[in-house]
Amino acid sequence: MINIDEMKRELPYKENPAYIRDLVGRCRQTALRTNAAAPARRAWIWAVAAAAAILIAVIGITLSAPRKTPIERFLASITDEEAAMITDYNLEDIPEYVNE
Amino acid sequence: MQGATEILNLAADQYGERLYWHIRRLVVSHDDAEDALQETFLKIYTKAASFRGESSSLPAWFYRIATNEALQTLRRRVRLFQSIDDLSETLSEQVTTESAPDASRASVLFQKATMLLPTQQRVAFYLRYYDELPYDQIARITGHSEGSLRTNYHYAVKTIKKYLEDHAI
Repeated sequence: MINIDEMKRELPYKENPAYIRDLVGRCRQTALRTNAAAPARRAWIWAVAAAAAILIAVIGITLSAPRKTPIERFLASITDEEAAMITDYNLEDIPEYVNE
Repeated sequence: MQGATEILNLAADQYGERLYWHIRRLVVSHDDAEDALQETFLKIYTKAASFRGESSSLPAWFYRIATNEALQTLRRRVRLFQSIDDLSETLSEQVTTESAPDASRASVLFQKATMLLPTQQRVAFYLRYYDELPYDQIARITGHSEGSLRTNYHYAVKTIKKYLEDHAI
């Protein structure tokens, strides 16, 4: 009958104790370093998030701005002289292709 | 209350190796154990300021973090809708590959037998059998009642014995 309490509490994995102590030391140092760098990393994350928010806001405002009709675009593209020339005309007289 | 650096130093100096072996028994692979130990120390250091318990409960807190990190490492290895318990076959095979060439057959079979245990039983068994922690401390680490931990240990021993007998140890 097996009594496991009488068995040696031995593991099949054999790592050198000095290597494990060294590993523990390295992990401790990494934890100290990583935590020291955390505020700078958080500042970077906030800066990137703020830039992304501004970019999204600019794109949103641009896309939501009222778009000009073809007539308004045509009128905006002509010079003051040309505008003066066509003030006598009815907008109905503007060639059809301008409205496209 | 001690500072974060003192608490980290205590964890590394007095419990570092024990925490490594506790994690290693759970995850089997040395590389995974190294990653989980690293995360454990980082958590200990970053959460030390929010630790509200007595100094005497620090070891249980270290073990709790180490256990959570080890289980988290195992969770990363399972597929969606799978549980860690489904890894028992894989872990059992991995025991063979991770074992030293001169490891005794009994120690390999013993470790393989523990991989058949459900995770909760396995954690309770390791903490009691290898770390020889009292049940009240294991209860603080795992968050389970002492009664259920005693039952877990009893069933774990039964399962391991059967496995060893079936494999003619």
